[in-house]
Amino acid sequence: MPIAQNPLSVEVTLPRADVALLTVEGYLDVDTATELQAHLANQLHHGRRHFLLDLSGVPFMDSSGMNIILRVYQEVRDKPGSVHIIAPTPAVRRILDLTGVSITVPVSEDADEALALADRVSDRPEEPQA
Amino acid sequence: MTTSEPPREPAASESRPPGPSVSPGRPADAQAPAGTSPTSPVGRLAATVERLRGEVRSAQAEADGRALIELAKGILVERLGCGPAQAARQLAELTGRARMTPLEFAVEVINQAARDRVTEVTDAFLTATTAPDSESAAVRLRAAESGALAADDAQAVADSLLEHALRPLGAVAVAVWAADPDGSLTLAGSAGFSQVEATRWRYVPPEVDTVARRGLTERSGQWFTSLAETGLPTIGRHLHPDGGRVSMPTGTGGRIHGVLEIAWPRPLEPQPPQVVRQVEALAELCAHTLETHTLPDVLTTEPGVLPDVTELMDLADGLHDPALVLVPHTDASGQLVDFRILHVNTRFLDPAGRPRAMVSGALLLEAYPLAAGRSELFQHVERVYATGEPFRAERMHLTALVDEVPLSTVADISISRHGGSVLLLWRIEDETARLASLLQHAQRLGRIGGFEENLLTGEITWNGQLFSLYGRPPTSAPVPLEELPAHAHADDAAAIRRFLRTLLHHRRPASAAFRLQRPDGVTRHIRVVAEPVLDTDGRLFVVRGAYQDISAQHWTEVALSATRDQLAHTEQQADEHYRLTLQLQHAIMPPTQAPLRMPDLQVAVRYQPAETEQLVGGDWYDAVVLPSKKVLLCVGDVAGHGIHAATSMVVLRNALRGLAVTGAGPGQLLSWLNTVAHYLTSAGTATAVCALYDPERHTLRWARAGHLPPVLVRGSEATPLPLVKGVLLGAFPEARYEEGEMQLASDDTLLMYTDGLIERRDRSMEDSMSHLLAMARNAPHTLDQQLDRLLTYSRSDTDDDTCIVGIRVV
Repeated sequence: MPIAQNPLSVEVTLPRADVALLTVEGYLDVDTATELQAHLANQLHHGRRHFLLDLSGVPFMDSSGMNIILRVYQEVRDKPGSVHIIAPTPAVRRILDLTGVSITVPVSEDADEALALADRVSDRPEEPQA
Repeated sequence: MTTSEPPREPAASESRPPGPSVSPGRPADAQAPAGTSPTSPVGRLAATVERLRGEVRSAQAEADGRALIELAKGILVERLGCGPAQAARQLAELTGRARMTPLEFAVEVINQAARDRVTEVTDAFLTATTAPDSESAAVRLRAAESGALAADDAQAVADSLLEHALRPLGAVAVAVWAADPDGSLTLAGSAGFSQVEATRWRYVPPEVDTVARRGLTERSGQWFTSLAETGLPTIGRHLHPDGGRVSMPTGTGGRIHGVLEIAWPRPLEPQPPQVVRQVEALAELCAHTLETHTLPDVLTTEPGVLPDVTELMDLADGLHDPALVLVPHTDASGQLVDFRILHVNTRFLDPAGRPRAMVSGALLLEAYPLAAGRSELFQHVERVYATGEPFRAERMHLTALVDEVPLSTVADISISRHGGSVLLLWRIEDETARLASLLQHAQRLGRIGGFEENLLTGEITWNGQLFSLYGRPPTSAPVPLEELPAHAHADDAAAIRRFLRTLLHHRRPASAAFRLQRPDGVTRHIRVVAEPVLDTDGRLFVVRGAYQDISAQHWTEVALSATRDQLAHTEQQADEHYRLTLQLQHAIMPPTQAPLRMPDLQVAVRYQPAETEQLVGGDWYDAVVLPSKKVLLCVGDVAGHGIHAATSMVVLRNALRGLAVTGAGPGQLLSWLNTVAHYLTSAGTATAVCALYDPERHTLRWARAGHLPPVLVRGSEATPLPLVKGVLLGAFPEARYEEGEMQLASDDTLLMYTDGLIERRDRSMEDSMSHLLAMARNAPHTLDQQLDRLLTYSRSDTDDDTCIVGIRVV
């Protein structure tokens, strides 16, 4: 398991009171997913409704990482809130497309775009696309 | 301490009447208040103090006045009622103020104390001698004295005493008893009793309580108002059953030689002090006669058998306890004032830690000033010397001054008289004794029983703990080592035989653990260790060792091993868990299923479980012909691993089979399956690809839920099918799935697989996919070979389980 040498790094900034921007770096898989989950749970606890996940530093993501994203999505969708994925690497983008998550969870080029999307979501709960 | 005897003034000499001494040194007895008697502890101390005054100069010259300073401190302790440390401070302070040397000042203190006593003694004597009829009493005493001194035997003394001194006092008879070294009394002389009576009472064996014996054991004059009241037997009792009696011990230099017994015909009222004094003086007169009294017959062996002091010193050296040989120390008047420590043996340990040489040769009260105190050691020595009656006491508290601090020591004491000397033994509960006691407690606490077995004599010694270890009364016979097997569990016989062989045959230390079966039915786990003891010829003659009850330890080990068992059980359970999961998967999806037999279609499946137990996952496949004759092909992967993933997989797989019977298309099936996954399974999400092959039209309709798209191998090309839209199962309550459709041609091969086949962390999915496509492209002849090859050359590094379903159109 070479992944043990690549611990996940998660940096949290707050562009606004109800928005958490998490910049993730490292392999997002079964070994590291709980780390991201802990950060997300903490921010949820502090009342954030919008989660912007910058995955530009994640070269690999497996189903565990996927499940974390789906879980926070389920948590915020009724608030109403939103989850945005920012600048995924091609491999992660591929996974998002493969699993169909990108159908429901919007993928943005950068944080500003994601913020703008989040503002729109704030007014009306996002319906899951299909 | 010096052993020289500088001339000194005896304590009471200045108050002694002139002329021949009738009562040397005892004038104060009659009237002095109790506690100031020279024979009382304080009186002894005072006499010692007085005598020491005479020694001051020489002591000073030797610059060794420590004893005097100590004594002065002792006096201050008594006078000021303070502790020794405070007394020492007080002494130093006073010394400074008086501008004297410490020694000089100490002597001053002692003198001051002594002078007080001397004054009291003088007063008492003057009171006694100036009594009204002291004149006539003095005359009588002179007469009796001259008679007694003229007489050469006790009989004559008795006659003279009765005639000259006692009849005027109303007495009718007198008996002079000699105290023999063996504790018996012999009637040395009598007057006023019939010859027959005197013969009958010629001898009183030791320990027979008579009037005379009372005087001896009490060491002071016993005045009995009426003989009848005492109930004591004595000479001439029938003559004057209600008459009064006096039993007065008589001795010289602290040693009692005999008893003077005087009989009155009528009850005797308490006598005035003058009479008491006279009787005491008369008793003293007898002492000189009795001192030289020799037994008439065979009993006159005393001087011969009694060891002289040298022999006693040898004896003391042979003893294993500290021993002191004491000889009486009398003043110039012959009065016993102290005992000189003539010798201490090699085992001697001073409680105050002084070297032996400092104690040896010193006087008892000087070396141990506190011996006169509450411990009464001095009094006991004095009494033993006087009566010859040995004294033994266990756990007697002795107080010794150690650096001015009185330290109480507990000791077993033995005092006995040997000829003219006294042997004092003490066994201090010292370090060794405490260690022995500690060891005993440790053995008890450690449940250790010691034993020693003499193989020649068969003699076996057990300590008390061993008996209780064996559950046998201490009175029972110990169990010899040879019989050990009979007391042990049968299964331990071999271990014990090995133990005995090592010990007795090879003569090496050995140990063994066995179960001891006690007579009370209790089984104890015992460890025995033993070592052989060889004699000078190298022969084994003694075996000694110890048994230890290790039951508690044993049960700890048992508990530990039970825990280990439990752990193993848990591991086994986990193992079974894994096997169960595997069996579940195998039951549902046999790893090598018999290929589905279809016209124009080959179907092959492979399932490869993860190698790591924990990773047994939720991959599934299915290939089944539906009632519509269409073929349902499916590959799925439940997120996560273990039994939960596996059960979810079963739910989804069976649900899909059931749903497929409706005839719905793959998009609709997955939509329903998503609902099932979202609401009905505990697992989070799953991915799946679902296809329906129509064998009549050779068409394939398919949809995917977050899963890798199937790969089509056509000719030398291998391409993944387009990525139709479809989110993974279970993530959202509702989802819709795009369908794809394609026409399959002859020899087309379609591969559906789970990501265990391609997933690699170190390269992109594109890379992995191209590798898969490259492998798939070089299609071997048969579908089965193709699938095997894919598994074999998979470059996956995640050790995930893997499913492959392949169909080939023929």
